[in-house]
Amino acid sequence: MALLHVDNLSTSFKGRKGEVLAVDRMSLQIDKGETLAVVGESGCGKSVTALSVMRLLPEPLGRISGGSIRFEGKDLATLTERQMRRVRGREISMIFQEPMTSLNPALTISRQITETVRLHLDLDAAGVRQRALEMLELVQIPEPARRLTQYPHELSGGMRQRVMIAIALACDPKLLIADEPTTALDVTVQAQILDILRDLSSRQNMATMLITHDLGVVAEMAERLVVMYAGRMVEQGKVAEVLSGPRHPYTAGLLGAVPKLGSSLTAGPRKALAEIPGTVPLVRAPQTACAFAPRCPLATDQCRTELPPVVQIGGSHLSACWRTEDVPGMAIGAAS
Amino acid sequence: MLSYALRRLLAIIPVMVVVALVVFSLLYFSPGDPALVLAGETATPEEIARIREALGLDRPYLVRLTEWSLGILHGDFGDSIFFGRSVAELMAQRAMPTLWLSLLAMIFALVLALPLGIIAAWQVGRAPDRLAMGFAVVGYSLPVFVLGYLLIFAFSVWLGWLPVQGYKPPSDGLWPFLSHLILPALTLGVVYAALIARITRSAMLDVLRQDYMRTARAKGLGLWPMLLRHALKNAAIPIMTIVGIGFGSVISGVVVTETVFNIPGIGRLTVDAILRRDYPVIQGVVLVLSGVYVLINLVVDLSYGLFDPRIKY
Ligand SMILES: Nc1ncnc2c1ncn2[C@@H]1O[C@H](COP(=O)(O)OP(=O)(O)OP(=O)(O)O)[C@@H](O)[C@H]1O
Ligand SMILES: [Mg+2]
Repeated sequence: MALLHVDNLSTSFKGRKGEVLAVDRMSLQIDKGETLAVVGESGCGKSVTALSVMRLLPEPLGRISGGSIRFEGKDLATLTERQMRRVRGREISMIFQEPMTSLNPALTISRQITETVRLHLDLDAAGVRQRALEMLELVQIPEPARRLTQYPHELSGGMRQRVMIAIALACDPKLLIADEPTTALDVTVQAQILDILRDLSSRQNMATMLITHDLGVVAEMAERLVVMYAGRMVEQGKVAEVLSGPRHPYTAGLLGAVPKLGSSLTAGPRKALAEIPGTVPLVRAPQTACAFAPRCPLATDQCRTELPPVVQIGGSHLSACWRTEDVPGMAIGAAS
Repeated sequence: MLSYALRRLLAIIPVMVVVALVVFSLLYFSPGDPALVLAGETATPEEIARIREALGLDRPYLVRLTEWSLGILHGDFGDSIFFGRSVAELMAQRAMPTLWLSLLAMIFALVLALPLGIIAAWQVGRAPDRLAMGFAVVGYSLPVFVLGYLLIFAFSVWLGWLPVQGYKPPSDGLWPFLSHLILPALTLGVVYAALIARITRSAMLDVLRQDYMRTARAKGLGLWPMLLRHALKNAAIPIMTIVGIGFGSVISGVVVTETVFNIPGIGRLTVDAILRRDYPVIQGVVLVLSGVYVLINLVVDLSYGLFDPRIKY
């Protein structure tokens, strides 16, 4: 059984011009210890999916309006806030894109790490401090003892993101959600942070949901990949399978030119998602047709009027496309 | 830190000099003659002139200003025209009731305003927010004497729980002391509380939207550690600032409150002095209260470093 099973999740936001369906019947699974990458253009609902799992939506404006989020047998979507507090930081942790602003400027690093430990683990004062020190060592922060007494403004962006990782992993969570953890950092620091993440997740046998724009990162870090479009899963499967043989026109478009698998993260130019003409539509009601059809070179009348079913292409490779058979022959996105 | 505090302390001197100059000149050039008040309705012009001479009121502006300023440097604020006693002594005698009153008012204000502001921010746009801000608007716009008489009517006359007026020193026992102070302190504290509650709400609203508050939630923290440990500390600087600036409302409120509740403090001393044109007393009181206000704001400034580690002196 999967560790996390998001099933038909819908999340909506109340806005001035009515409701927006940021996530529309989205499904994904993560197994124990597995790293799942989630990719898609800006605004396609990656962060909202992650925040829904953590139940960190800005309620009451944003809320889960359907589906379930099963984590180890319980449905997170229906837990009370009090029950959810025992999950956050303990079972599931999250790190965010903005290391510069994600730490509290008024509290010491020590305070910010130890409060999580004290909250969730049954340790005495010395044990708590020991754990904080140990975490800073694990994320390879030099002079950890001195760092404990410092405040965030005394640390660089890369160091702050390491502290965020230390906080997130301090209680040995079973799942880490990393929402573009390196986007705001410069390239060499990105590689270091990703190394630390990969190293720690395998050491703690922790599952990771890694949200990213960077296909190089996907190839390097993840076992499986989910591609999202307009709040829905459009394709998923093993990273190698999907990157070398995309079966959804959207994925093929994103890949543009597929990065060579196994290419080093630090060496050579990194592959961002390719540009596709057009923009992600704003979804207001449950979709009844393929949302990608207006931008899709393969779109037919069926695509424009009927919601494509999820089809299994082989093994765990899934695609939600009426014309998935024709994707390998598409002019764009030819696999290398 | 220490050198900063010393520098700030020194910077108070020119401020106080200006205040002293303004106070003295304003009273000097304002109409009204203490000799007239002292001499009474039936006095002859000769009698009045004699009194003026005896009090030194007939001497020129600069002479009197110099004399007064030199005295203050020695802690001598001159003598009261009406009581014939030293102003410093009079103020010392009246200081305690006012000190207790404003201290209690400050405590009431903070105890009332901080939770209101915090809850309003947390429940922004909902009933508790509307209620708290409604209270703030009413509290801010209700004149002090109206509120004072309303409270007296409700709690003293109608319910009979608290004494109507007067003051008892702490040496008379805790309850007599407190029971006489509760209503005046509330009266005095409400405007201050309204001010603090509004700033607390807006400062907290600002903090609650920050990324680090999302991090705090993601850690699994409960509501109160989040609001108090993570949010309030970051909102503290604007709140402390208004605590300092708003203290002016306490100082000005003291005059009315002490009159309404018949408390023999600095405020009453001031009112009486004004009615009697007892200039040395008015000057002394204004100077001392200005000093208190400036000092409180200095302490507030120095407290910023406690809340924001990025501030270094
Ligand atoms: N706080 C919010 N209020 C209203 N609508 C929101 C809010 N957050 C997200 N949305 C809606 O949800 C949609 C998906 O946003 P989301 O942040 O999940 O995108 P994303 O895939 O994470 O994009 P990015 O790559 O830019 O981070 C947005 O287009 C927006 O319409
Ligand atoms: Mg995002």
